[in-house]
Amino acid sequence: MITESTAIVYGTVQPSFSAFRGAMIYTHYQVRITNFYKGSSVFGYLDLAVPGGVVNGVRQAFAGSPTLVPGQSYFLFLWTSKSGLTQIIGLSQGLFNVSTNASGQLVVSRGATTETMLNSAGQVVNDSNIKMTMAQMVSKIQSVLGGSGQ
Amino acid sequence: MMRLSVRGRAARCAAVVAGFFLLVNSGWGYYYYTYFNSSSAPYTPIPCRFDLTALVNNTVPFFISGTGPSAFYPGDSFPAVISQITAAANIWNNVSTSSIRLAYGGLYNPGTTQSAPGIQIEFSDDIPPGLLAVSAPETFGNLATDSNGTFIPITLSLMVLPTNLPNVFDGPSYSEEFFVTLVHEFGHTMGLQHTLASSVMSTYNTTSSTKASPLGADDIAGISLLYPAPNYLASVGSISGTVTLNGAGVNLASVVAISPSNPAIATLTNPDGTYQINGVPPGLYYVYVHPLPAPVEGEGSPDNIFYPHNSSGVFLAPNTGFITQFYPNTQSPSPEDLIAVNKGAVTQGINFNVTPTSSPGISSVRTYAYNANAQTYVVGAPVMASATTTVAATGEGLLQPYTSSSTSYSVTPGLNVGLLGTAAEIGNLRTYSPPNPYIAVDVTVANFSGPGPKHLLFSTPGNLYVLPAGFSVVDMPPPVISALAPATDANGNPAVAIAGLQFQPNTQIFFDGLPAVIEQQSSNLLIVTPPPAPAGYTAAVVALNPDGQSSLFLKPGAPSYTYGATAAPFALTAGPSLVVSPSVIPAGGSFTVNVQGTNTNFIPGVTTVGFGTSDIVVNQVTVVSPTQLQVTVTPTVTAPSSNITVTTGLEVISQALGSQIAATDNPQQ
Repeated sequence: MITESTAIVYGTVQPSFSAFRGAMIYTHYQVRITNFYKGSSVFGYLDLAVPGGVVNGVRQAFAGSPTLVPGQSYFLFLWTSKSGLTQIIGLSQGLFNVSTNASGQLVVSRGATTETMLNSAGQVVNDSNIKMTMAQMVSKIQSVLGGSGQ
Repeated sequence: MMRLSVRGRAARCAAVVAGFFLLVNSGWGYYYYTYFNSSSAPYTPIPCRFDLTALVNNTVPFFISGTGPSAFYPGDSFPAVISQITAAANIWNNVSTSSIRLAYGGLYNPGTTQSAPGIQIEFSDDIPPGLLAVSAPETFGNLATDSNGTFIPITLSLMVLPTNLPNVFDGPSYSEEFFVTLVHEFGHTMGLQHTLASSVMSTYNTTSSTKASPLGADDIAGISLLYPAPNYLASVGSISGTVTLNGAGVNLASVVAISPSNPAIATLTNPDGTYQINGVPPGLYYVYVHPLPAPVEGEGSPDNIFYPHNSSGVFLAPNTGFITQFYPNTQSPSPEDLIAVNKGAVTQGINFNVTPTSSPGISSVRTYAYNANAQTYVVGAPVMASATTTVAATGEGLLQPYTSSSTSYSVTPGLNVGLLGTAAEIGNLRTYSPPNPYIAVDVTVANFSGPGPKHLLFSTPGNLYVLPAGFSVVDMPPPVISALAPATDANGNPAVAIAGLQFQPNTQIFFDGLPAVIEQQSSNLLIVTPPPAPAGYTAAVVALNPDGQSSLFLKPGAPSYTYGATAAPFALTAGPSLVVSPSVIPAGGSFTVNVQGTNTNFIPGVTTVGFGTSDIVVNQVTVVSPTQLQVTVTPTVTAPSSNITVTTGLEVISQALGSQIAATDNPQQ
């Protein structure tokens, strides 16, 4: 997921709007970036699109599309298509909630799968019920990226 | 080589429900895109589906974006992709107990709008990693009622495939994965959601579907209940009851009817825990309930279900915190627990009081069988009768968590793998070395167990997971194609000889997505007449056996056949072109379009014509000669921007009406 992502960020979601893109509706969120761990933006924010939404009374809802809560902060693994649409990797797999533990550390978590899996290239993907401090997550990202931050 | 794809599928349904009416639906099924007409019990599910009365001959036209994919596997082509899409649609067309039919309506220009119902298939680079494809029925808020109850009409369905096919799929358009995905996505476009019966509408992580046998009993029941053919509902029975947890109804619990001799049929509970499994063939069944599995990569909700919502617009999430159990509240079903189902009747009172758990348990298991001769693992997990076969399984909860300090995999403590009622032995539970997160067991099936799908039970202390069709008993190995060559049939007509092994009486041969006509047959030689294709066209050739196995099982790379220049009648003249008159079709009334071809070989009963929009209905195609067609159409609106697509076998000729001809046969991109 780290290598497949075009951007990895920690940021806060701002209120959204929905719009057609071709025949499909996407709900767009503005993510104000607190930190980039892969990729960059000169604006300090990016536009995140999630399949589904409501436009002029027409509603489209992708099964599995997450609903982001405005004002809430997330740790996000993002992917930008050739046409410039930025989405969360694997609908929800790249979406992590952020909370604070008893020690005051930021913790990223995603309750879901509990098994080691392979990605399409046959490589192991550690998808186990992920919960770790943000510092640990950042360290893992930097390790995979060779410490380049890109 | 053992493969594990963790890429999922997603589906979407669009609906705005302006108002609800309290009406009864005979098509009670819960893996549809479902809405409720109330916010409290009793709940009456309202599915979204096509309005058959708004269709010509109950047929939904589907249209394929003329842009096509941007990248193919070597040897693959856009006409080959089109033929596979059409073949996938035909899988659903062959369900005799369903009234709905799908028909290829030609290529369309992206952005084409249409007022009549239809399905648009486009190629996009916006599908994020983790997904194979996305599809959705789209609806507006109006309700409709017919003899099968109240529903929300689907006005348009979208199927979005990746534009760069090699980036996403494991093989070319003829591959098992691509084809099963197409069948799955067509199910979504007609209103089917995911199910948990190892059928084609199961998520990719649990399906046992194969190209040779894609539909399970659950798929057939699902489409047949949504669009029942006459007399279907009277030919099947139902099971109903309630699932409760600490006295409260459990929402979106999966309830499954299953027997050793029948595939599984499933449904999901209503918000108050009530359920009814319809479409069950008469017989004896075990019934079990289990929670929806946690989402895996590419999934955003348990089983990637688009949750139902109530009349207040509130989405109703599932309760997944309970333990799987059979009726009557047991984890060790015995023959006296079987439930009788009679046609036209509802077996009532099959109630469950489930036990809560905070453990995710085992879920999303997929199995593969090891073929020792080919040294490969194959989907569908075919197991030879009277032999011992290794079956590998991957899924949630089978192994202990793997950490960076782990050097090997360990089976989850207490894990046991068993069978539901089938005479077989299972033993030698083991793991593989990293990076292969699988368990394996050896399965020895008794000779008298009979062919077909068998169901696996994965148990840990206090918990249970049932995998319908965990493996399939077969009488012989998969078919093998070893060589192809030009030949003549018994009448001296040009044909193709196919040498191989394990051909069965009902073996089908496909050239890309089109079937060949089998003229002569033995177990190791077939003489076939291929479908028409342009001279020089190269088609992949695949054998499909009725036991669900294909020649791709052992050789994922299919042999190819190149059509010769002089092999008439099935090799078509290269370089076809069309002149269509008139070039603009006026709206209203029946209208005849004349198509004059150059270098064409139009064939009665084979050549089809489409205009890329549901607003031009093709009533009849008359082949006047190999170079002339007369097409009777009924346009509902003027469609000056539409295309005309003339398809003869694997030859696709498409052009914009009133513009220059663009032949797209065999670009071999």
